[in-house]
Amino acid sequence: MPESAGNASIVTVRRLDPGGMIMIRGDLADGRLDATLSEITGKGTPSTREINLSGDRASAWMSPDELLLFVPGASVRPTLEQLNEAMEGKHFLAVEVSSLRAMFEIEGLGARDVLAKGTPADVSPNALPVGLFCRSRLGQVQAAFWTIGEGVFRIVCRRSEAGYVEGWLESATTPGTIPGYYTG
Amino acid sequence: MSTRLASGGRLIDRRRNIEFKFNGRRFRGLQGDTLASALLANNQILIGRSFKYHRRRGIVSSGVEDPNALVSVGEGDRLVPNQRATSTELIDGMAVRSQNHWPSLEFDIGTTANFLARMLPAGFYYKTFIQPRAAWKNLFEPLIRQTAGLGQAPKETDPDRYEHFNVNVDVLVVGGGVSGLIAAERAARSKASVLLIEQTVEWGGRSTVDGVMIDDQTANAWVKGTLSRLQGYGGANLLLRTTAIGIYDHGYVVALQRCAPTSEDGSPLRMRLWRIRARKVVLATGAIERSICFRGNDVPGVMLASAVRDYVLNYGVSPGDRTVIVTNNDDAYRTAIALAEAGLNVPAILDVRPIVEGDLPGKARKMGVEIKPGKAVGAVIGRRRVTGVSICSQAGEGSVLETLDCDVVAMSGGWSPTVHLWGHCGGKLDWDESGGYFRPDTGRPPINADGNAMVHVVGAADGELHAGSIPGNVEDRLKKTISEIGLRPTRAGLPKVAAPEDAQMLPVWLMPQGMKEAARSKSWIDFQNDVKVSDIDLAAREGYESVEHTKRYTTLGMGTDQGKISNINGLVILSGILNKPVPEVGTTTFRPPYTAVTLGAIAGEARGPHLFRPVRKTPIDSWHEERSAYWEPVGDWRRPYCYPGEGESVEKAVERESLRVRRTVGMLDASTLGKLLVQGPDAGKFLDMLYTNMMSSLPVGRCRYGLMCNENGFLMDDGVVARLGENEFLCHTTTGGADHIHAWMEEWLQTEWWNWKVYTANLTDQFAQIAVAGPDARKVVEKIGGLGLDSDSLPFMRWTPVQFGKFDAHIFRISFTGELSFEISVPASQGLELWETLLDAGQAFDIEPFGTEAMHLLRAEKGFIMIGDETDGTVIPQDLGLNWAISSKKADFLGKRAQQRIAQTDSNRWQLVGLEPLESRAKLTTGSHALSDELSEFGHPRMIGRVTSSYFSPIMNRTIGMGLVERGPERKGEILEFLVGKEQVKVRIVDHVFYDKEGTQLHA
Repeated sequence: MPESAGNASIVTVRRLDPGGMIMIRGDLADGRLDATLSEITGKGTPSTREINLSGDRASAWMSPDELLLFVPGASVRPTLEQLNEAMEGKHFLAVEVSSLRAMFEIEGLGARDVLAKGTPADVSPNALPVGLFCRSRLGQVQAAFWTIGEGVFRIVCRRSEAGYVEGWLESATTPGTIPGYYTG
Repeated sequence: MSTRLASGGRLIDRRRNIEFKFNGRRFRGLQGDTLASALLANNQILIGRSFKYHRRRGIVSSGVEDPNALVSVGEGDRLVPNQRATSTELIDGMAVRSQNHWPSLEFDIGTTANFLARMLPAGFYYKTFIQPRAAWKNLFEPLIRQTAGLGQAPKETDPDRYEHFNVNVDVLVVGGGVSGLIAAERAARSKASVLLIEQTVEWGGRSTVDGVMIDDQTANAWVKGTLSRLQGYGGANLLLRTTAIGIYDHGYVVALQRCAPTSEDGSPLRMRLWRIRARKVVLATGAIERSICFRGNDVPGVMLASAVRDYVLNYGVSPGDRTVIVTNNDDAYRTAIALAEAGLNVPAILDVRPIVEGDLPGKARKMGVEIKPGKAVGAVIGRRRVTGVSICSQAGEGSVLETLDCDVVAMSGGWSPTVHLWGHCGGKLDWDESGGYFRPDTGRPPINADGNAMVHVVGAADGELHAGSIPGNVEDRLKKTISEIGLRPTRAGLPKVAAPEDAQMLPVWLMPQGMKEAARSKSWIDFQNDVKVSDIDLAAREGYESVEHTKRYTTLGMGTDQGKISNINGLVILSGILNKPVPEVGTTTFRPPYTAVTLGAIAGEARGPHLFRPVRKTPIDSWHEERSAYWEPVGDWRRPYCYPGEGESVEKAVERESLRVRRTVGMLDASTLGKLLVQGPDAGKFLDMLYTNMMSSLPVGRCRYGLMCNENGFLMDDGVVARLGENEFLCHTTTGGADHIHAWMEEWLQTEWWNWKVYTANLTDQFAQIAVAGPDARKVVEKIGGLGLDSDSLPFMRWTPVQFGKFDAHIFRISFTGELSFEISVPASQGLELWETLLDAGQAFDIEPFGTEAMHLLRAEKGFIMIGDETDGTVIPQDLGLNWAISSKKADFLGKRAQQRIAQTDSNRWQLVGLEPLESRAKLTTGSHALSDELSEFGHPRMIGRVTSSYFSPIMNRTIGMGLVERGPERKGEILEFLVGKEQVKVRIVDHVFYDKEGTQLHA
């Protein structure tokens, strides 16, 4: 098999330092939350199934009352303070979860095919473009993934299951096993 | 003689020879052959033996419906039994073995069953192996198991690779014949995303073999054009060698793709299981030809008429020089014409219809083939293979009019729509009287969540057996399909399909019409399972009226082919005997899989040590592994059971570790414990409902042990709750219970108490937690932490946030060992570093890590209960003497009401006690029962208790146990006998706290 950048069969796997993460639970329609998130990430509250990407920061929609906020590790404490201050008096939870999850990045034209081996979610370019965030399964464990540009996906999973996910991704990216469904 | 013809064969490449072995003999085939066509090309007519009578079996069909052509393919770790030769592509070097015979295919001892056939009728097993009772287990069953089953299961691990692949599409089209291709194009033109799958190696279905003209082109040319147009739509994906094996609710379809048909392909993947979620499924699965029941119809050389022409036209293989055709319809004439055109002899066509006219018979007549209207096969002549047929009138009882020499009998009992997949999800069927088949009742299709049809069916599968009418039929169904998913069907011209008009078939199942008894027991319905016409007679005579019961009694259609060519025959014959119309007799239920699936494909990548099952690992796992921990699975986690030293047994290691904790200090990786954050103005109120005890009264900075029950009052989890702030609690759960308890909390918050202001967060993976326990524990933690860890600043059941050396930690003074204990919690990313820091600091005090078993032993010495040991889903806290943890002040909590029921307040309930065997080192196995002298209502000794935990306690130097005993606490001092294995062990009932009853150690 000739190796080239355009070969759908080559997908690389990297484990990333996930940086800082904050779990937010609250009323996602709250204007003050939207404004605070704008201050933090440059973008407001993500809508259903969305992820607002903004440089080294992002906010992802996890459920009707839950968000996952990505910030640089050093910014976690000030960000938590900022959030709690802004939401003072409201029923709201922000808690650091930087160690809760592991993060992987897969890269290659066949990246969607690799995900499709393990998730029942629709990962076609129409169903999962840049800006959408998908919480689903990968193999036998829970995971969430999103694309940051064609051919590059980020995956988060439980820290305790990172070993399984890494092994699963290694297996799923074995050259010659990628059907090329999303690459033609 | 079957042989390779000098020319012809659409699918083979005559320049590429392939060698393979059949029962050790070298055979030659060609690229493009199926195993069946290659075997026929080598004059191998005999392929296997039938299941019950071990009769000779040959190839009947040319596809997945074949009942006979089952072989074992491959050797050693690549052995695959029960492969269908008719749908297996030939691969260079393939090693093939026939099945179900001993010692050889040609001479099989099992054939004796054939001579005993009269004594082995339907239901034979049910009637025969009843007495003597013991003989079933010791004699009959082993004997039957020995002889039953076709191929042998492989004994080695399959080295091949299998994977799953998930796709979501608007329209899945199953079947790549003319109707499937038209349907796929229609859908793709309307901008639907389409997946088209075809189980064989080529597109076009029967049209390419049967010479249909489409839009004035050959079918082949039209198929090519259609495929290239389809690829141009972008949204269409096409897969060959892919069989839909099951349709399930919500448009979920599972299909199996064979990825590596040839050895030189080099694909590392053998099969891919497609898991397809389709908004609409379109079935274009075509039709399957039926066999006919006549005497000797199972002799090798009797084949389906369509298969005979498939072998000639597709593979250039002649199944025999002289072929007698027997039919009730026009389609079989295509076989006569194909044979005549290939220069092969057709001595006669026996057509049961009294008058034979129409285009195809006319053409055959013109070619000089003799047609005998109203005639039928009286009997097949030949035992090892067909040598001739005797001919009789269909109308009579079988008097022989003449005999003809031949080596093949090509039979056609008409065609049945392939409705299996339609039926998988509840699609109903209609009996078509004139065609003699069940067709989908499109008014009662499988239904989607929106109330519309989940599955639409087109073409021959819809009962549209005439090629010319197919485009209109597809158009009609696709309009619906497309508009139901919210797209607009685009207008486009329909292809024009030209095919000769077939005359009406005559539904004939038995041959001759007045078949006599002797012939009925030699006329096969199910070839694989040896079900004959006489077996259906017998079942009907014995009162079987339901077709489902008859199926099971006779095993009709229960082979690996699921009776694809024969079910209708059996059904109609049954209805004839019962004198009931077919729709009243009904049909059997179609269930997945449509064709057999290799287990490896279902497992997919989930195999081997890493991917079979996800194992959760703590941040300190790598250290445990380096230290050669002896592992124990706990929930989804793996935890060190103990850390055996060089040459040390597991038991000794546990003893050493437990004594280390009791005497100096040990440390435990407790990171797996569930850590659920519960926050909000109503958090206290919420926890008061969840736990049996009061949590809202817990002051900030304190910890409280709590119990959780389900609505039935049964204990389901326990753990320590720490109040972090006015509105914030951290609930520790058991390792295995974390996810369940989190879901339990969310369920109550989302469904019942949706207006309570509470948020939860499962922070289990966020924190590593390490317990330092033992008399020297404080010295160890003070070495790192410094201030504020003395017993005044941090007494038992308090917690504090602390700068612990370089760690930003929470320290909990909680204890599961009964010793002075600090549980230190840090972000998981720092867990390993904390572990190593503690180990370092503890060196001066001989600190050692301890595993789960030492922990369990230590807690049992203290009489602490374990969820899952002392509880089993039927135990309430009161049984365990935990009344102190059940608040009587609270108006309500989950389980309160249930705990007031009579059964749960019964004073005879089994209650927790300590157990001390009189012989101090006696083994007391968990689960052993105590028997009373009285007999139960069933005449057995009455059980009055059981052991729930038992250990050898090194510190007490004796066996200790806990158990649940009827009126246990009242029996303290009593001696009960527990049945351990076959021995009665005398045990004294004692208090369940064995060590440090005053709790001095704990509160140190």
